Amino acid sequence: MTETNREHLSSLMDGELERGARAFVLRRLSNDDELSGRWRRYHMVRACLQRELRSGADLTARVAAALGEEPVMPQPSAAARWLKPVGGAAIAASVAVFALVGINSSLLERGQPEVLAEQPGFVSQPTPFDWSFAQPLVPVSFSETTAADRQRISGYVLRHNQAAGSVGFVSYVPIVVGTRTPPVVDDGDAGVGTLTAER
Amino acid sequence: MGRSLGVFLLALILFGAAFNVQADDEVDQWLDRMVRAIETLNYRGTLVHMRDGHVDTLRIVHRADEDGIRERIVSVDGPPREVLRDGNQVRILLGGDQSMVVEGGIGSRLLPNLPPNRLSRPILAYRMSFGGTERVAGLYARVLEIRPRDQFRYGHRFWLEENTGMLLRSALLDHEGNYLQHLSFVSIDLGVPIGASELEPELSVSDAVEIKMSPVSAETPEAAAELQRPSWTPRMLPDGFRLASVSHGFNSEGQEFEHLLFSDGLASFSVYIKAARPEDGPDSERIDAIGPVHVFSGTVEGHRVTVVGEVPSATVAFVAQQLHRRESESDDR
Repeated sequence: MTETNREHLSSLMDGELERGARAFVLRRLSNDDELSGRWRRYHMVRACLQRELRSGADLTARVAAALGEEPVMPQPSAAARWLKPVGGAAIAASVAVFALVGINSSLLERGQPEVLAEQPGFVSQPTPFDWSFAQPLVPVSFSETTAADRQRISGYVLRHNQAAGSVGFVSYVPIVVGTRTPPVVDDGDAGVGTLTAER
Repeated sequence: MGRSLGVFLLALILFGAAFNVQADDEVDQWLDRMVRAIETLNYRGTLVHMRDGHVDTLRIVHRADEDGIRERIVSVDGPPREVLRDGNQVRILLGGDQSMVVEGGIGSRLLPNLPPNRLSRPILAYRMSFGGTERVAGLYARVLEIRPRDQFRYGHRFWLEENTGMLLRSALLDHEGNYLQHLSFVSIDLGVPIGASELEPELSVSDAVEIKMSPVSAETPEAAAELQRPSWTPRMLPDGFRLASVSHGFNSEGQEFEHLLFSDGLASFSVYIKAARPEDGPDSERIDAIGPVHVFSGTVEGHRVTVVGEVPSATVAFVAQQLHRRESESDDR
């Protein structure tokens, strides 16, 4: 780990790298374990500073964090109807769901459909089928997703996987891969999602 | 003259149609061969999964014999995890500090799987054709292209081993033909004997949290029509998608939800509806992405709606917008 690498990493965190350098560092990140470990630690430190522990080192920390964020305690008896934990691990079980699916989520927010209003008259009227495509999706930070959201989404993804196997191609790739913390940059402009969109 | 031209054109059209039917049949046969090969052959190999510049390496061992199908998938990169499969029962082991075992009937597979009695011919929503022959993991493969007819679903490209139809590489593509993710064998031993020891887990998870997933008891649409019609339905659906099942479940907070599953034969998405509560927070709309899987969350008629599927973000958003509550029993489907 050279000093230059560290500088690059911290510039990337702050969204101060120009596009070429950004692509280079991101490429290195996916190949270099030490670098990606440091990247994760940087984010962890930042997350802690922002009082949001996103990737707990152990389950107990995750449980504690999740419980802290949730106003309502899950009722073990009710939870058991969906996920039957063995031996009173009910609280951990609800947290387990998102540890299992490992959401490397990038949250997308919908922009305003400005284009629609300005269309000249000769363009055929958009149908509801076009509507979905008219609104651009803007990637925003994952940190806005609460533990409760992640848990809900993971539970639903898992159930979809459970049920959908008999009707088409559903891969459990989300379960087998992808627990890695993604290089998500909080500053909107320098986000990896933006980078992907530019490609 | 005009008549003979007409006859000629008619012949041409008929020939073209027959040719198309033949091509579709051939595609169908290859899809069947693929699914059969994936399930019934013995193999061991190393796979790489590529998405957004990330590479994950997986090892797979698959055995099919009179005792049924057994499979073991080990992730070589990242946190140690293993997936063990015995028939339809799947056991997922997560190692490391947060060791955990999750067990249950999970219908999905790592390699694509199609049921023998397909809901609808996926050909309706996709254009299927053969590409050339390419070499993957040292074997020659036919390339099968599956292109969606609209933007509401992804396309696939399959590399199928020439003799067995075994899937050697699969790619997920968007409507424009850009790659979204790749799953590819880098080495594979086909048709080899697999010893029992190869199917034993390497991970020791003795003090792990054990979680059992209860099965989803879903009604087929026909049964659901008699027992419990879905109380929600989309006004419009993208072409080719049909209701595949209706079920009910409870989330981790004990709240009941309705679960509708839609499929076009290849792609599928789930719609979950539950009553909104003040604790659920503001009625904001959002879309989460887990690779190519998109999740729409929002509120419709005082209910929290979540749409999940390996489909483009526009699809989950569109379906959620189209949802409405059925008014009465006389309401026609």
